[in-house]
Amino acid sequence: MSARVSPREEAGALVLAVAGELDANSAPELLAEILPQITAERPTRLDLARVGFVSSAGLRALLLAYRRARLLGARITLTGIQPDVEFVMAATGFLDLFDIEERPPAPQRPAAPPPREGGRP
Amino acid sequence: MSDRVQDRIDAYPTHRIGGYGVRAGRPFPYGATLVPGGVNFSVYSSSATAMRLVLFRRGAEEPMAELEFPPEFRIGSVHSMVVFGLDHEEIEYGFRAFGPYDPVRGHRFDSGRVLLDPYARLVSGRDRWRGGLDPSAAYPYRARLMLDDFDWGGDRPPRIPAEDLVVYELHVRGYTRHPSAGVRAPGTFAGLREKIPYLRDLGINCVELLPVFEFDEYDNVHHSPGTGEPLHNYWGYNTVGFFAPKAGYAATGALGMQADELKTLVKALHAAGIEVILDVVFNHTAEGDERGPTISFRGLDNKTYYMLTPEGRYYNFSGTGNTVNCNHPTVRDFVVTCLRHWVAEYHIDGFRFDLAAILGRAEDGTPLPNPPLLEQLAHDPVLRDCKLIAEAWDAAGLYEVGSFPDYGRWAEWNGKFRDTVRRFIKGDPGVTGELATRIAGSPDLYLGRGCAASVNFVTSHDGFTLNDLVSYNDKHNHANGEDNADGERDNASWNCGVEGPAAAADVRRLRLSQMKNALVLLLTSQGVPMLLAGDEFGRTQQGNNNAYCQDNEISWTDWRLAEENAELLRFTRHLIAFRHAHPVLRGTDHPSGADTAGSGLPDVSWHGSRAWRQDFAADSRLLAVLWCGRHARGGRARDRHVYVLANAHWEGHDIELPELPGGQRWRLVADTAELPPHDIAEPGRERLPPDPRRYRVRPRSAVIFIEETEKGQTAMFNASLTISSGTALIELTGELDASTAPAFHEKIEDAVGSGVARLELLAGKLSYISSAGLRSLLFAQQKMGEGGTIALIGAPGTVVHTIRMAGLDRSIQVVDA
Repeated sequence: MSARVSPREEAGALVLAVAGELDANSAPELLAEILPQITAERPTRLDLARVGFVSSAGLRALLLAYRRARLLGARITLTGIQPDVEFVMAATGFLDLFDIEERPPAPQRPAAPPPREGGRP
Repeated sequence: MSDRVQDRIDAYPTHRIGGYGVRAGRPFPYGATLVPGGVNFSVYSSSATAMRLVLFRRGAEEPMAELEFPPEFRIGSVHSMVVFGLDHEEIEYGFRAFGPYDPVRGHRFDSGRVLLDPYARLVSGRDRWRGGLDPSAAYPYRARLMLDDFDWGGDRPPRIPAEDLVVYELHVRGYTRHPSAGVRAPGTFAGLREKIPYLRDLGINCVELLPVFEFDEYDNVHHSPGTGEPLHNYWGYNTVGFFAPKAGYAATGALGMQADELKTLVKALHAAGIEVILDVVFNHTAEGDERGPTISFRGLDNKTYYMLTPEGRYYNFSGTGNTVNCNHPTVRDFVVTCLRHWVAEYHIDGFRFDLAAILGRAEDGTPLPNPPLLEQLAHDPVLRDCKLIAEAWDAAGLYEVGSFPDYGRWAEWNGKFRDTVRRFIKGDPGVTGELATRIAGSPDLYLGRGCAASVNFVTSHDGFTLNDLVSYNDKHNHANGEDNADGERDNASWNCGVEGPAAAADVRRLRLSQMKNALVLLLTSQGVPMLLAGDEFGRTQQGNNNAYCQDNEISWTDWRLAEENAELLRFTRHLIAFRHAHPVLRGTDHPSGADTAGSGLPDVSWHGSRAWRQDFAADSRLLAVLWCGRHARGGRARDRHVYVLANAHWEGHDIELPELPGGQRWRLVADTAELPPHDIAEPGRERLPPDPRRYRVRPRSAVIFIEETEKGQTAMFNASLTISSGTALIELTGELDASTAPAFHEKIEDAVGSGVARLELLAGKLSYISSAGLRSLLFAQQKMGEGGTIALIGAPGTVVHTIRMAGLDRSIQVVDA
């Protein structure tokens, strides 16, 4: 499954809503789609409310996009991170590397992150 | 990766094998490495007649492809191949090796097995603790490809001088698995990260983790006699993948992100000033003996990796079935590469080598006078700053405590310290003289190697916990399914009158005192103290002294005890802080017994119930030691005198306190016979004893005194911050060293956070600055940035000298008061 990006305006900010799964397959496309839309002129929010799974490569792609945007002088934040994704980002330290808006409340101690669809039980 | 295909002129396939574009690979590095457009696979076998790369879709039972390495892809004994167009997150791989099955000649090839890459950086199959594939599956442990980029930011390994360490040995899962741990990710690297504030409060500055290389927790043949359920291999001294972090220890292991999670833990520990030592097991593998499973080494190159008898059977110096052939050049290379990997990729600060005596044996098992592996590790450029600690014995009777080939680098677990302290505190006769030797850093064993060659401990994972040491005369290992036949018989333990849990208040009080006595001896001795996690609040294993197989409440740290035994926890915390505050207890070299600093006192002196009269007679159970503060760090540091008394006798004694050359008085730091808060004083609140010349030492107790300072109080390090009109003032008192630098850093952060342009350090009461302290000043400089200024005001001559020597006076204004 791949990820889609839909842009929208919200109070002077560009919101890039990502939907789907972020992994080694979808990450390069995602990067290619996101980067040209980011400018230094207005703040950008990456809305991850409809991202249910981010793999190791997916997290790296997100961080690369985020940092390239910063390099361009753009203000960029993440928003809408789902609890399962947030759990993984916290455990692996990625969460500390982003500017996060609306950090979701910590879920009640999931025993482990959910298995990926179609993966091993 | 596709956008980088152009980066190399050879990034295109030359052959097609099994439906994949491939070309000849590079022999190094071994294992699987991401290269432009593909993956380089490289595997060693000196005797295989053919080799295949076996590719799986993640989790699939059957391989999706098998690619035989063409003969022209082999260089020497190394088969290597680049495979293009693989989805690196979705594949798992292994090798199938063809060759003779001829055990007498050392060959045990089995082309029916898919073999794990010895250099696999990620291993799946046991992604979750006690989950995953059936171990009887054709290929239960699977290598995966790893993205090894990680943002270490400004990570700086603490590089704490070994003698300044307080080591804390813990099991990653057991430490936070119990519900009482109250962490979000119980039993994982992430869970341990949540406990960092606790570790900082406790004051330890190094964690030593029981094995975290991939192992199989199902590797145990025994069953619980109670439930009949299979027991586990909870400790993990049965390595499957030496380059891979244990996936089941990561909350994100099922997603293959265990490396990121462990690195994040290490980075956070470093930021808290805590080093990370790994317990590593290179003496044997999980493949066992002739009857064991063929997982990796046996099927790739049995003859190279294992010590074999002339009949081709396995030597068993490890007590677990096989013995790694550590001094074979290829295996040496494997071990060195592996340790470099952990240091370079994971920023690990040191290693404790399980059954390290084996690492000094030749291919036929003979102990070598000059073992090449140990020498190589001692001189390796990447490992230069790593702590190397040997468990200097093995399971076949080679006992090298004090004689381990050290090359000026190796430290040892000092088993004799453990045995002597245990025997002394339980009241055995004839131990006092040896105890003095142990307290002095065991010069009988380590003279010339420095005090830090001695890693002192009273308890470790292997044996009783501290609470059980004073609660059980005998081991109670029935739950291990071997009729209590396993585990050490001679524990030098004493139950204080009742076997097991006791309701009687006097028994409980005595046990508490005995635990404190052991901690006093451990934390005031020369050498590197190591605590077993949970001992600071009385963790129990219910008398089990070999809980390797107990993945349950027997082993898990019950954090409710931290409240229940708050008294012991407070005592331990203050005692650790006391050690950090007193360099005289943390000598680099062994004491000489002479006055080399012209202080009027020898660096160390031994006393009995009468001052200056040591009593090492067989029936003596009282020992006192006076550490002269002017001799701290060979006279390079200034400290106060410290007097430690230990009475293991069941009767009290009136003792005479030694008079000090300058007439200073003694103040009372700790007395384990007292109730809190007088069992140990808050720093700076040490009381005067009722009589300045005599003290009543009660039965089975330990007492610490400290020389009073001129101002009438003892001073610890303190940094206090005030901010006014663009200037931050930090007043420094005491010693600025590795242990106190974090407190200083906090103040700097606060000061800089307030946006001041000038930082003034009032240093009139700063008595000492170590190299870690100098780094703190550099840290302050970085934080202040270009525009800021830093002034050091009124520092004593010795401190100014140190700063000038380091060249820091060019950027920091050194101002007289």
